[in-house]
Amino acid sequence: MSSLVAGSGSTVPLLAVDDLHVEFATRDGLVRAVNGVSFELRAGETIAILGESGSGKSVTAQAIMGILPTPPARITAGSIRLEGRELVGLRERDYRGVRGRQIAMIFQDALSSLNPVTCVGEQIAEMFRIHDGAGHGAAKAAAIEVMERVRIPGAARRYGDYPHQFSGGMRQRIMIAMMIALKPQVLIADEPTTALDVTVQSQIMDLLAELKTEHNMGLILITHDLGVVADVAQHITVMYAGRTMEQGPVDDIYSRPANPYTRGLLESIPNLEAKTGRLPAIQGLPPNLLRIPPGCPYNPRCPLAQEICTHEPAPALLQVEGSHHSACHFAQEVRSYGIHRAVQG
Amino acid sequence: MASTEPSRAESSGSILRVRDLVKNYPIMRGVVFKKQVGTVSAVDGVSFDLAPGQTLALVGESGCGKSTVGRLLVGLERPTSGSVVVDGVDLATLSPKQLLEKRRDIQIILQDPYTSLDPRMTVSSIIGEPFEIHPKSLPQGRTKRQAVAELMDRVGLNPEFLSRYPHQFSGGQRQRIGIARALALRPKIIVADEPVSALDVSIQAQVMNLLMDLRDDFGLSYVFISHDVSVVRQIADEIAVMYLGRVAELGSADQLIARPNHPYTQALLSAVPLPDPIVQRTRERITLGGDLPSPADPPAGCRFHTRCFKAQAICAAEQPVLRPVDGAHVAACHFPEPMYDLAGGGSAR
Ligand SMILES: Nc1ncnc2c1ncn2[C@@H]1O[C@H](COP(=O)(O)OP(=O)(O)O)[C@@H](O)[C@H]1O
Ligand code: SF4
Ligand code: SF4
Ligand SMILES: [Mg+2]
Repeated sequence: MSSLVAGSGSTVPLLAVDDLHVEFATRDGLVRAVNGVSFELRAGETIAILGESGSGKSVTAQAIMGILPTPPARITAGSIRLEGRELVGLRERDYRGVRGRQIAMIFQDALSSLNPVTCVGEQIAEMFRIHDGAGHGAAKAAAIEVMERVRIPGAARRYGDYPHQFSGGMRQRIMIAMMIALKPQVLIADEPTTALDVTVQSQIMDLLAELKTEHNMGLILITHDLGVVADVAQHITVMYAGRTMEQGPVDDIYSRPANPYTRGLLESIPNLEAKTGRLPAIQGLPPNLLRIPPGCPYNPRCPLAQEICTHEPAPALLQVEGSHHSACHFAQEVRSYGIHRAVQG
Repeated sequence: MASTEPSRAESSGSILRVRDLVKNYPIMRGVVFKKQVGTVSAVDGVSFDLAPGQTLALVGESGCGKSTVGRLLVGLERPTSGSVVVDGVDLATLSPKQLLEKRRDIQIILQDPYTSLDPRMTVSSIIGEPFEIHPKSLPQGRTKRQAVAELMDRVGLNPEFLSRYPHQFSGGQRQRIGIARALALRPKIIVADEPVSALDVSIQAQVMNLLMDLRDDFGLSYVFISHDVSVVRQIADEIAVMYLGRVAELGSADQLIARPNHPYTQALLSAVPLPDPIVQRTRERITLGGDLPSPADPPAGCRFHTRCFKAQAICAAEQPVLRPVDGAHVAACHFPEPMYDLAGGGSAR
């Protein structure tokens, strides 16, 4: 499914995150939230960043948006380049031209990101007034147009309604309308459907995919749910303890994972089709980011861990095949096992 | 394939019998002189039976009334009408004191391990609190402390952490605290309301496995409430799909997922995201139009008719009742009809 561009490594990617490190200075010590995340995004491409809570997905997104609270946060290493332009270290004044206009972001909880005392139409229109310098009438017309575009029934009639008058799914559509208003090149969606019911979830995912194609945007979907992105993303980045564990084309990741963590995640998903009894759960808990274990951060939970996994530094993200990469000393072996999703028995 | 299994509704061996449960909440307006301006119909005529050792799941999307049913079952709220019969005893016939006693038999686990535990209480006092209320239920020859330590051990918590506070535990561990507390009085039935929904997938699997083990070890019966059909599939013997306060379809988990008959169940199953890109790209999906109607103003007739892809004129006029489609498998639809392979194209056949 990947476009022609996605396959060619020669052109400058739309967005390139390289070896990003982010720390938080807290009372208890340094929280190492992101410890070497890398990925690339091309125009018209959808990538997913997958990981459990606390794996550093949202911090990565905030770093890209330039909205990390600094202090306590600090980008200690790595780069974020938008069409080749370095964003790390950019002055706030310059970032304002990037945020919203070039890179936009939607959040899980649309209700708390919308202003409760301003009607939704005004909030969208404001985007056009502030960023595009549109006049009142033009801004209102443009707002109604994007509300229609995200399929809010009776858009013109509902222009003056307040956020609480909409359902969760409609509010997420309003957020999307606000974010695509300025036709950004990159749209980051952080758990956009996590708070929604499944029948609404698929509507929102379809809408995002459609808008991405229409505007030739690069779309980054951040999620903990391996099901939601399976058919939407072309490339997947799997994160654990702030690191990229595995990265590659979606079909490879799901059918031939080359990292024990990815495999564990896939195997622990309950199967809708068959009752399988006990699930092959991953043992233990994700690490405390104040005290990430030495070596591969997954080693205390990994069923395949060997001495090398604790004694050597964390394995680098290395090529497995084509654009499929894994950070595991035994990537090739893991890949050759395939996955054993529990089936009826 | 006509089933010869007797309908559960007629069997008398149920540990829990729910009949025509209705819960309406008044909508009040006014500051000084409050007056009722409407009614929210949260639960509207729910009936089911639960056999000992079995798990019945209530599945549906937010606002379908499944959690309200859960609260009615454990007596946290009184129904507007209808009955809850626990082990042969109708809760409505009990005095408050008798009700307190009966509640030992039916305990609840709540969704959010972050808010359902009192942050100022130690784990030991949270898990041991039921023994304060029912001192006689302390196991023979045990101190409260010993009993709590045993419960902690049983749910996979280190008993050395007795005097810690909830915030010192992870989400999965907090859910284990809630489970230990629910087990303290050796209930016959546990109502689990979205017990793993707030947990990450790897932790979800651990807690699901624990719930299955406890069911088998203690012969528990579960009412398992969840929006997640894949999770439910792993634990449920029977599934009741709810929509806007009513049961749309009820049947054995196997039948209901392999051959759903109600259009809402069909749409729900087809929307469940599956972790398989190839299946996802090719499977048939039913997209529902519109939004969930407000339970303050539910549609007349079939409550699903405003979003149903099969709706006819009769659907807006006449409320369909639950009718057998295959043995004990029942659906509330004027035009029930099985659909196959919605759970992923049958790759596990
Ligand atoms: N403002 C902050 N101060 C201190 N720690 C933070 C802050 N924001 C995030 N973190 C920490 O960074 C880690 C990664 O968080 P996050 O990116 O939100 O994970 P995810 O989105 O994958 O769930 C977490 O341990 C979190 O506690
Ligand atoms: S490097 Fe070792 S511990 Fe880490 S994932 Fe691979 S096998 Fe497991
Ligand atoms: S009764 Fe009519 S509206 Fe209701 S589910 Fe059946 S076909 Fe659809
Ligand atoms: Mg997050």
